[in-house]
Amino acid sequence: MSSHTRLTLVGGLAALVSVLPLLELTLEASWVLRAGLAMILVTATGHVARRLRVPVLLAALAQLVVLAWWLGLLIAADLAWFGVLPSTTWPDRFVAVFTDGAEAITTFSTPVPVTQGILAYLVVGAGSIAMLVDLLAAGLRRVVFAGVPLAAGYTATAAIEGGDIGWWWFVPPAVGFLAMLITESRVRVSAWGRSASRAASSRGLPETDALARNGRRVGAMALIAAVGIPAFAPVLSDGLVSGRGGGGGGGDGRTIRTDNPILDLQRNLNRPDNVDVLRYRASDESAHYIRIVTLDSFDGEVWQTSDRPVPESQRVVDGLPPPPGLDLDDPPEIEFQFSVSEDYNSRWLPLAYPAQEIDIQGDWRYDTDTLDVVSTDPSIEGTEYTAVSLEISVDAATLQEAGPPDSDVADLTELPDDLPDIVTDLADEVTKDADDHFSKAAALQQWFRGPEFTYDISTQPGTSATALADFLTDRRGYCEQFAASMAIMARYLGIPARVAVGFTPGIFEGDGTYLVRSHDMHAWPELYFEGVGWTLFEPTPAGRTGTAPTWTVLPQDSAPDDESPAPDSTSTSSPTGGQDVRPDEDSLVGGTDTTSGGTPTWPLAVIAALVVLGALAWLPLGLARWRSWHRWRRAGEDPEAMAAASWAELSEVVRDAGFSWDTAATPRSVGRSVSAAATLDDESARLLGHLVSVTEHARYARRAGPVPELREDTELFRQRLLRTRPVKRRLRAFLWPASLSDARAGVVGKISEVLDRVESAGDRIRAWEQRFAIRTRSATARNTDADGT
Amino acid sequence: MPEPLAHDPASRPAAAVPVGVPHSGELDLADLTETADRLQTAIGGVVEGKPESIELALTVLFAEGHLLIEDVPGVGKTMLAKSLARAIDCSVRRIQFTPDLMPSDVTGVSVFNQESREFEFKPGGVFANVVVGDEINRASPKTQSALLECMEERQVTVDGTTYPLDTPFMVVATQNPIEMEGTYPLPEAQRDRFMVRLAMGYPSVSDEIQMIDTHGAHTGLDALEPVTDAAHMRKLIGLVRSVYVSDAVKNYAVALTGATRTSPELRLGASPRATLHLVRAAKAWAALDGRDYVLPDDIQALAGPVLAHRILPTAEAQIGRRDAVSVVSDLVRQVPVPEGRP
Repeated sequence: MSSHTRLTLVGGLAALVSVLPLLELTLEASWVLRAGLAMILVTATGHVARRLRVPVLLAALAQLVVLAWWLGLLIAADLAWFGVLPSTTWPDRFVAVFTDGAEAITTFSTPVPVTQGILAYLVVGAGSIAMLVDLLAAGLRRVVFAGVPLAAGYTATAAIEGGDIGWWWFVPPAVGFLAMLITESRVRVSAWGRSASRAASSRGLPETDALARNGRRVGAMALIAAVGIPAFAPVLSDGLVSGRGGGGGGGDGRTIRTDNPILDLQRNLNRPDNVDVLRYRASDESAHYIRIVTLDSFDGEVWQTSDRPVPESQRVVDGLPPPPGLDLDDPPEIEFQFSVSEDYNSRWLPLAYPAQEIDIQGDWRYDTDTLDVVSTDPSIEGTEYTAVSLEISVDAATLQEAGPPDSDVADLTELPDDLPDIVTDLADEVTKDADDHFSKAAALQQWFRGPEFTYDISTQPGTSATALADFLTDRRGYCEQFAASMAIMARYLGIPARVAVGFTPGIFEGDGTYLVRSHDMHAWPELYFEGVGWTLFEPTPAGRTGTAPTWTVLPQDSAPDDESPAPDSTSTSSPTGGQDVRPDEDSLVGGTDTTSGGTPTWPLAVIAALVVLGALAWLPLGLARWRSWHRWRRAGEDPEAMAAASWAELSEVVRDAGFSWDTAATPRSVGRSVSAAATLDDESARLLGHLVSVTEHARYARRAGPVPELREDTELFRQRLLRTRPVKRRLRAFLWPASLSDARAGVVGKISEVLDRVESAGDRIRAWEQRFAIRTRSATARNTDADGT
Repeated sequence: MPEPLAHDPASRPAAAVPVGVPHSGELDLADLTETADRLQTAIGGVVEGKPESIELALTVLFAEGHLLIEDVPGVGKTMLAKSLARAIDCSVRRIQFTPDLMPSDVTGVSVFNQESREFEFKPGGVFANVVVGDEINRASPKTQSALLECMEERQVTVDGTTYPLDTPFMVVATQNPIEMEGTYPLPEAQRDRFMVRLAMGYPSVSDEIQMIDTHGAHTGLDALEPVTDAAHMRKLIGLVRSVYVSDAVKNYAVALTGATRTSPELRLGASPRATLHLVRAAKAWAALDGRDYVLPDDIQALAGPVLAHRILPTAEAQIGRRDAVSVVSDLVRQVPVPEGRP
């Protein structure tokens, strides 16, 4: 077989297996046959074209034509002339089928049913891979680049499945590519001439065994590393080996985003892993709600941000305007330092309301009504910034005395006309005893926080009017629905209201720093009171949010609010910053997490790290001891097997001690060389002599008798020998015992063997063919002879 | 001398009965080792500073083989042969080979007895337990082959009558490799019949000085008293025959001789008889060590002495100053040692 043919063949096979990962995307597997035939046709065309010395690009063109013809047979056979010849109606059919296919691809989620259209895409894709591989490997002799089309099948599958693809799909294309590289190297080496050795020349191959073996070893190790290392890397959920795990409510990868706040809210709350979002530290060293965006418009379906242009004049570098409605004299300022984690990104800047100054890199602009800060080019992963917000001291009495809202915010009571009756009825019902705005709001909040409602994150998301009606009927939902409902009811009652999305204060990490994580994401209503401005309410039950803010509770009926301690209604608190939530209150953090209070966590982390390191350090020795234990157990009571176990053990000990072990030498000469190399005392030397003679006896004597305490003696010798060695050597024996080298060599050897077998399969088949041919020929000859006589 | 031959006898007693290993007790070799020790001491009193050579000679004796001592004149070849013969109380004949020696001088001849009017067989020099054939390469090929046939067959046929030879029967032949004039070197086929070829080598300086002191006036040979007799030797040889050779060791011996046949450095490899001799010698070597089973080490130790005189290096190897002994020791290093029972 010529080198060209060999390369073509191996390339074709590699291309064939490289499309196998696409099986993951389809419901049935029957397309593989048709796609495979397309690949065979394409490769064969390329080969014939090269044989005829057709220029490379022309050959590629021929392959395209053949591919198109085959596709025509598959999807437009009924239109073909004489059943096989392309007809003029084919192009129309092609366009129709591909359009269908594109539609199917966008419509169905994987795995998809193999419709005509999808089949067409699969066949064309597979054929193109075969063509590119053939062109690069056999045509242009750039085998390395053929890896790119070979990876296409796997990459496409991985991309469509969102990385959620079994690691084993990686193996076929990788092995195919390795086989191509090996073949190409052999071809290249053969250009130096043929080996004079008989064995090689009879196979018609250059003698490249040592070279090929090395290549295979490197390849095998690389493949093992590629598949194996991600399995043990810390990011387990995204490792190849974890297979089809993950999924569920998790986003892709670890990064969490808030682009569409309402949609992201439940997803982030449902993420299996609680990803760090940011850390902040306030100058008053207390906890604050961190707001990212305000949803101030309700269209009957969803709460969303109203249309608000942010011109260049509203850049945060120049400071922010005073918060609307606030009419207090010189409220105190709180300085915040934010540090955003690498895993969080958002268009909106997390801040405590109302921010007045912000020091941050980049083009960030504010909205005058909501004081939301937004950027067109968000990249806040890992950034740090500082902000100054106002501390607004307010109490329930102030709010109760607030006048009617300013006309500026009057449109923030707008509601759609077709609000379900249950919403309005309940709003009236709950607030029937309240006269002023604040009392109504407090009544609503108290009702939501009451025992009738259950916090349940698994509820279907949604804030549409009907979804809210369901929520009010079932009395079961999560913060988004609590906030939205309360805001709608407040608007119905004439209080300007909106929904804020952000985070609960997070957990206290010590040193004034709070850590906010994805599970802390939250939504709450903000109600407008003249003179105070937008004020935070907390209708979500205490199980999630802790105590209600003090200013939101009417002084006279504070006690039955919920089980939490009665708030001190006389104290003044910030209505916007949630200042009452103290770090030491364990109800502070919502969701699934319990806070670790003020205890710093780093000593624990250090201990854990030490434990892990210790375990890792012990692992090799543990494995080696396990191998030893297993060896002795397998040996049982059989004297020969026990002697063999003792000898194997001895070989490891000697190598652990840093001496060479000649596997080709007799036990006696091994014993002699060990005694000579190590400075053994008489007792150890006698012990070694004993172990040697036990092995000799077991191997070569007529009958091996049982040897008492062989295992103990072997162990004793191990200790005695290692004791004579320097500490460095003993440490090495501890960290990487010879036993593990053997195990590794065994595994690598097996893999190499398998690869050898795969590679020599062609030769074996040829040899078999030859034998068969000779047999047939001699049989024919005999028959002819018989006929002749 | 190749590396495996440099066997340190001092290490032997320690390993003779391994500590804690229950001896399989198939054979009681104490008598044999004791006798061998006595022989070694006796012969060592005559041939000084050559314990390895004496040990090899004893191995051949117990293995029922024949010994070819090849070295320059005056290093004690004949002395070793004679003292070996003298140490055993048995019949000894010495044949001095010369160009005019006739085959019948070796085998014997039928003489017509005038009185009884019958042919009467007069046994030749070969009818003895130990035959010392001195300077064997000086005899004509005809005479040489007469001896060599006796060695192989252990019987003599004269005028149609077959006369068996006594057991033990051992031929110790010496030859001088230097002198070429008027010699008839043994052909390969005939060298093959000797179990071991031994080169004495020069004694060390101290040994040579001591030799002057002790043997200045007389040789120790005169004072040598037999330490055993033929009947006892027959019994011990029987013991040696039943030393156990495991399949692994047999395979190893075959692999080793097989390797000489395929080695590119040799134009003639060892014969199957060589394999046989190798294993038999190894049995005796093991028995002398007090073991009733053969180790690969025994095979390795004896590969040089048993195989080297049977093989012929190629011209290229000779140009490369490679002699048969070094080729064999290389092969010993190359052929893998069996792990145990197959």
